[in-house]
Amino acid sequence: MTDTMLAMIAEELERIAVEKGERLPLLTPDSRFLDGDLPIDSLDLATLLVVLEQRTGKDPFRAGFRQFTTVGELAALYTAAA
Amino acid sequence: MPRPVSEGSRLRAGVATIAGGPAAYLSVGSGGIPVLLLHGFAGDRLTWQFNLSALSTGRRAVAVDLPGHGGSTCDVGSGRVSDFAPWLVAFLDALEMPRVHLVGHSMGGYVARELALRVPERVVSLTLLSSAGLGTPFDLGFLRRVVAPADMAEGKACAEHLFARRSPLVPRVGEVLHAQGADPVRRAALQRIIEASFAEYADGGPVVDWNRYPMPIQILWGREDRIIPLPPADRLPSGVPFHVFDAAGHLPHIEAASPVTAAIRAFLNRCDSPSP
Repeated sequence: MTDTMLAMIAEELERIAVEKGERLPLLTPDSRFLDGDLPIDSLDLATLLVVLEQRTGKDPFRAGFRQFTTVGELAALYTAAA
Repeated sequence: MPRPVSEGSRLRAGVATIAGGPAAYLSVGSGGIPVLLLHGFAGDRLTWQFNLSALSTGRRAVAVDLPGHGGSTCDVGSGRVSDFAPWLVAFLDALEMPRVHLVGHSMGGYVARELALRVPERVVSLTLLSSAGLGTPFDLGFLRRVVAPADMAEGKACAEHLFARRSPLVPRVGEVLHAQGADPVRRAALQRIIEASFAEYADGGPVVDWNRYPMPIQILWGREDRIIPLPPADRLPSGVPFHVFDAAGHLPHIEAASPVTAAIRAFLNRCDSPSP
């Protein structure tokens, strides 16, 4: 299930990067969102969260924001969400 | 179970070219009577990121950066936020939204009321969240600090003041406030707004004449708001839904995102088809 989420996150990040004319580096569960590993900013990250909520029907932040810095951590939040 | 998202309802960021300067926005979903979200002072459209998706069920949800904020024009004119109303009318036209539900947070609540007065036939309902402009005192000193934090530590201290509880978002919000304050053009625009629109009313302003608003109104507030404390009942319209969220400060749509979003959704759904 986490693998499914990783694939979905990779797909949506790719779409966001392409729209900006950027190329996504090879994504791993350890890729960090905002620390320069990926060509995305906070607007892109917000876009990603909204799309993931739309696609999965899950909101892991329902009970408040939860910290994540890497792609793998975000995938785990969605996998664990009811 | 993963579900498909049609192209038309996917979240997109855009910039509308309108008289008075460009308007940056996020739009998600389609159809229905759209909801327009107006952020608070020194905030931007991203403050709605935890609400946008759920609000776009069955309707378009749009969050716009107000002048002087985010990616929109830095030109705030005289600094009077009531002047944002005609700019927003042009924005509604540009996005082909003849009628909308309005949701305004803090300063955005004041702007929402101004827009509702200007084009009442286009405003289906009004949700005021921790709203400015109800005539009660507010923390002017905080507003002056928040636009020009001296360093990252002061940015973080300002961010902490916005929340009721420890939040993992505080460091990030602090960074954003500090970066914003370090941009002289941005800072000057925000300071102009403070002096032209807020300073005079810090100890209390005029009472709102709610009879001038023909549309349904709902009031939402965080119980532990330290910027605009919970107003007394006599400052609120009588007989309207009034929800107070425990363990939430000045950003209930972030700190209590799910219950706030649920309250907004339920209200908008009721107002979509008013009973005769």
